Amino acid sequence: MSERNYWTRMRRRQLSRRALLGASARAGVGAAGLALVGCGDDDDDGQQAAAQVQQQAQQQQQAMQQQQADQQAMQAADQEDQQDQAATATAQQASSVPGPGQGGDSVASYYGLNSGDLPTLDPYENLTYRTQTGSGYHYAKLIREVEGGPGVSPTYHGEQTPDASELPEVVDETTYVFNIRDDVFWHDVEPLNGRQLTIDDIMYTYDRFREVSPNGASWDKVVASFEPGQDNAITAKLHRPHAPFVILASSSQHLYLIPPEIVDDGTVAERPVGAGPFIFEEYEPGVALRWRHNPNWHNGYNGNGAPYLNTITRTLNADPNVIIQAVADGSFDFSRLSASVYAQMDGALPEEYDRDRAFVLTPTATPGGFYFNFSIPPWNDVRMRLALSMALDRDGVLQGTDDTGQGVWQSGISPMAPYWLDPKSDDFGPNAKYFQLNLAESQKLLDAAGYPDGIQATIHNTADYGATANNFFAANVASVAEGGFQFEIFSKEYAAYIASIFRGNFPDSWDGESSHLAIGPFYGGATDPEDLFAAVYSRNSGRHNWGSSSRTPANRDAVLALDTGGNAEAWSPVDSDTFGHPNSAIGGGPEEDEELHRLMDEQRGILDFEERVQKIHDIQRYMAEKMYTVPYTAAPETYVYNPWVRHNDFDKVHPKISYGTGNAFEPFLWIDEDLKDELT
Amino acid sequence: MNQYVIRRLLLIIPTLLGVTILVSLLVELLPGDFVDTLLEEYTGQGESVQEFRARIEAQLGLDRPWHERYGDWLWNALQGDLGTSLQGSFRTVNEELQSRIPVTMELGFLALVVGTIVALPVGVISAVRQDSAADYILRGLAVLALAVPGFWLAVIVISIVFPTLGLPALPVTYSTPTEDLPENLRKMYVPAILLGVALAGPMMRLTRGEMLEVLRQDYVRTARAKGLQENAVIVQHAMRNALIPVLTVIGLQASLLIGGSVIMESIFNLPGMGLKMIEALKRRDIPIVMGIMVVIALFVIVVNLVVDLAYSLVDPRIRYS
Repeated sequence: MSERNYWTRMRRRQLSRRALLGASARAGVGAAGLALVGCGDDDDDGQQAAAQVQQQAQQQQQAMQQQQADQQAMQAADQEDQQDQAATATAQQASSVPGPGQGGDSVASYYGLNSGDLPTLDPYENLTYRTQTGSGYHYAKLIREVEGGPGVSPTYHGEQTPDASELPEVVDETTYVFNIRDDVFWHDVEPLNGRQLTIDDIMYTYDRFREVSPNGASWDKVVASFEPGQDNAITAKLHRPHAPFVILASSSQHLYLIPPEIVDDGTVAERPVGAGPFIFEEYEPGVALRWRHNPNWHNGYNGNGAPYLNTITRTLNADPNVIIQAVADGSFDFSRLSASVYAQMDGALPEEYDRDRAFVLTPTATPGGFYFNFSIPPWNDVRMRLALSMALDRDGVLQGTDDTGQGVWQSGISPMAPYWLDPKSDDFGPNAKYFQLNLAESQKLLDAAGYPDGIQATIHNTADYGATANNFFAANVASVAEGGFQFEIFSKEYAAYIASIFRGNFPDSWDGESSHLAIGPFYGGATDPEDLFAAVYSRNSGRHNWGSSSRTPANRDAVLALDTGGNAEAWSPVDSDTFGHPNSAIGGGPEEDEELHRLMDEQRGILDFEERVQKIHDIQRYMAEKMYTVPYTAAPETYVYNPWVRHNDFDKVHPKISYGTGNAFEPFLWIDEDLKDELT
Repeated sequence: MNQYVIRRLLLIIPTLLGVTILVSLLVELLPGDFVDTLLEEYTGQGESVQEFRARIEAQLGLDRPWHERYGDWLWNALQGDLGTSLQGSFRTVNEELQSRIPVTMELGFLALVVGTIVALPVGVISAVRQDSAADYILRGLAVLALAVPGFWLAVIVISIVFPTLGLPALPVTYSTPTEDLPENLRKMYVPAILLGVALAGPMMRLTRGEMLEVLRQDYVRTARAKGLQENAVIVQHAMRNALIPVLTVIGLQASLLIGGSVIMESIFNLPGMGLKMIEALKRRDIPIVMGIMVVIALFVIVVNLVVDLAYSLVDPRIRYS
């Protein structure tokens, strides 16, 4: 198979997937609308809801038509793919295998290059992705993310499916009713012995979540009450409309359902028993986690027999060379990887494997870029931030750091479909120019900001994100040098970095000229843009904190003395908020940006899917002209699958990338043991 | 001799106390704490960081002054309870150490065996055949072992040597020696060799230097003049004296092994103490750091005591009183 064919088909598939995603998302809204029909009443909210439903029904019809057209296009593309694949021996072997339900024993790396020990198996005790991810295998939730498949973006989390509850009925914009299913049973092991999951269990776990989980208090800021009613239903009332509430309810960092028995007997942190697709067997710290098939999983609906796998072993290997070799020699069935080792993995895989089937590339959910302390010059001047953005050769950085060739530009949010607005697209509008490499415009902005000769500065980060990340940071820093931004990277140890720079507490001492900037990721992994807005741009965020920590009388003199723009004499010592710097009128951080906060508040309250997507696009357009962060690029998350890994009866694996992979995706995987034996 | 041993054993108490105070204070002085490390994955949704911090600190008792927390830890430690990780209660620190110490010790022991087996004969041969081609080659290899970083060598072995030679894949999981000894050794042999080679470099150079010095001593010339066979001169007379400083180095290397094991444990996914220590430091998980430091300190003290006692076995001139 030629390289050109591979890339051509990969791009075509991505386009088709994107189109299908949009359609399925619209269909999802329609489905939510249908739920509203059944719950309408005579009050104003009900009328609004009914109007909304009518509109959504139309959207659904359009979506269905669009989906049919897209599916036809996809089928045509798939037919062509199948013809190509028929030319390879591997594809012939794969297509001869029967459908799902074949079982198999799966061994893979737990979390790719970020694998490591789980500090606890109680997801309420620690929010780390390591615990949350493992919990997805053995615990059920109220509702869960829809499983992956063709046309479902691996990183889209807005489509839900029933788990212990049916999908919630939306009574009005602040009231959701969860009807608890009566066919959900805890695992058939001690001390639960397969008893039925009850509404009391859910209320118990809910109370414990609020009491114990670090996310409990923030949940209370959204949910006013969560109370059992009649007919095995629980009613959630929100303080105010919160569009991502359903995502929050299915999020892996919230309501995993944990039975009271294992809390009471003190084994919740060591020996979880849930109602999820797999039964927990063993956790060997530093080595691996093991599960086995739950034959009574309530989502093995329609006789589909899920979960298919007999046993699951997820090892804690994190070294890229070991992982690559283990995938290549068949010790691992699959693995998550970094885009930077894509070429190495490609080289290690047997030549006869179909690369199109082996690799799945999907946009990263981790937002990041350059970020600043806004309380002092020069970064409180928007011209400096725009100049920096226009000096960043994003495509050059991708070329040097992304072996897959599938990287994209971040836009203020990470490239999560369908909210992300590609700065390269026409739809972005005039502000897209601020993302384009334009050294002449960048220089003009530098001139206007009082830095005609550019700027030399220390830029902070942590080296603890690993070699791949460090190379990427260095490439970004090197890229802006030509535009006059001469940065020297100063790395801090992880915890020291998180405690200081990451939270906006830049050192008072001046490490170098205008050193109050940093580069790095902003958030571990967002499931909805609201995660990012709340975590980074909100006034409560306390992450980058936007320089408020430096606004203390104690460091005012130091800051005044350190004015590097030659404007010290123009500063007024009166205004303690801005130090009276002349540039403060032009700039400042998002903390003071009422327009940004208005937009963020608005999107939170918009329940219409398309309307919210448009609002979030507007926020990205708005943020482009402010550049509160200068987003860098995003190489795709890279997954590699051996040919014997099968996903339902699809022709290739369609992963669902989230901490909830254990109940949203892996229940539908199976191993073709015959093919494995043959190829290893 | 007994009094000496008892004195040395009693010295362990203030030494350990000093180590725990120092470590506890140093961790306290480090910028950032455990609560800070939680922030990267904390969304907020309206709760301020100040509220969050206050809540978590109160939950974990981190809002109390250092001396109170240290006092509590010490009191519990004296009763054999080293506490529980701040990150989660999967295991107590005692349980964590019980499972991890044997892994690090096994790796260290195997590496020491490999290092000794390689270094001593090579050092002796290199000295006996001074300035010969063999000497130059062996010295060159020793310098190489010193110069090449272990992690680089590990990567080369995994990525190039194994696939090229078609060697059987290393296990991706770990079995203890009691569960499955062959599988355990299959997992251990590569990191043990790599770590052992790194140890062998300095040991070989020291052995060679000491042997050269001893071989020029009058008593060796006398032994040869008496007509003893060369092997007997080297093994029975020269080596025994040359090994005394080498023993010291082996003792020192034993403590350095823990540092080296961090890298090997990380690359080869061995569930030992080194890996846990790095993780705990990164997360400012004080109870885990304290527990591991106590074990490392104890290990270093005991190894040095054993080495000191071994002197008297190999050198009759040394007597402890």
